Amino acid sequence: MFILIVGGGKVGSYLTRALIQQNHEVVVVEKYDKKAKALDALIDRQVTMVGDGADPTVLEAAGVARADVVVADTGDDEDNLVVVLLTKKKSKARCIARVNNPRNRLIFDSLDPVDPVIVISSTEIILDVLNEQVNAASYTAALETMHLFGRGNLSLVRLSVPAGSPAADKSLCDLTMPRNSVIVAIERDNDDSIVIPTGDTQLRVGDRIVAVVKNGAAEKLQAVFNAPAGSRA
Amino acid sequence: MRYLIVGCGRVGSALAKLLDADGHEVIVVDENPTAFKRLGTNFRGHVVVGTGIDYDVLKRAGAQTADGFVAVTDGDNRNIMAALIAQRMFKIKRVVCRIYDPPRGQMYRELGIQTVVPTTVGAKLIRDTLMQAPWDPVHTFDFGKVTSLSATVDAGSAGKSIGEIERP
Repeated sequence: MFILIVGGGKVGSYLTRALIQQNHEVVVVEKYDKKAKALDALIDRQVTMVGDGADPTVLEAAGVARADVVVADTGDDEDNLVVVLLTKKKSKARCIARVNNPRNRLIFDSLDPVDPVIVISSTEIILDVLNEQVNAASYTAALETMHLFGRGNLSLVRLSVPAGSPAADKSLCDLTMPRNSVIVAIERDNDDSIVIPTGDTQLRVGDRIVAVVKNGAAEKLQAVFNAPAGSRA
Repeated sequence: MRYLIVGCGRVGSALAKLLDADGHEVIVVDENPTAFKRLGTNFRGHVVVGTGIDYDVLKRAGAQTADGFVAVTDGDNRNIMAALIAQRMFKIKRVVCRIYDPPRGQMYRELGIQTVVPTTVGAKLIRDTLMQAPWDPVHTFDFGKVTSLSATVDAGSAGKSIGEIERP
């Protein structure tokens, strides 16, 4: 595959080395001459092109039109966004974007509903791991937006069922669901499986509910699962 | 009307003062608190310190109820990102973004973001001034693509039909 990487920092450098070892063709666009030289030295061959990857002429010269994958991994979300916008315009390549502010994921998700941008946020990954460790013992249903669609009116969200939740051990049909929300799946660690629920499905503490919500019903849905304040230790 | 301006540089602050003087409610967002000095002492609007490409900062600035949004930071990439957040996440109806790079300005226009490219507009104005063109640009509209001109009828063109006069 031909992989075009914009951003030759630490992530870009080690990514390039790994990809070259897997025999992929790689070109790295890096703004600073010094960083580009360091990367060429690390790989022991010329893979870099010095220039601003958010500039259409630079991206074209780097071969965006024939790229199979374009990776935007600079440290600035706005630069990564423009790289994706330009790539979508000039190529059929799959886009992978690094996002530093997890909130910015939603705007990348909105760019191409047909061939979505793959968004990677290390902040979010660390946060998810922390949440999994911490929320098992917490009383608030952790809410996470997984995907936005329908021009941003609809979102796919994930909620945990915390200890002491009034929803625990209840069947779905016994819950009072807020308007504009529907539960589409339940992730369950113990069974290592995803349950497509029916009204009879019983919820357990630690379940992660995947739901589609419209126009900000997420917080109301979250309230259904939160443990009442009085029950908290 | 309620307007949100991201970037309190020369253009952002001047625009904020104009809109404020016209009686609108203006909120200005900038990362650098000292930038707000440009607004002067008579400015009655609000200021918010923070980056314009963060959902929470824009929410704090009242983006949900804004009638219009302007992105005029010194970074083209930041401006388009802020404009997309305003348009797609806050559903603000009027979103205007400044882009210095003409090809990118054109591309973003196709994404449905009103884009002003001062580079092109400025270059044309300077050329016309430099060449001492016999017409004055009266008004530039449709983001610099169309300009209306005015010229005085001189002895050379008086008495001629319009078709006979040499025009740019």
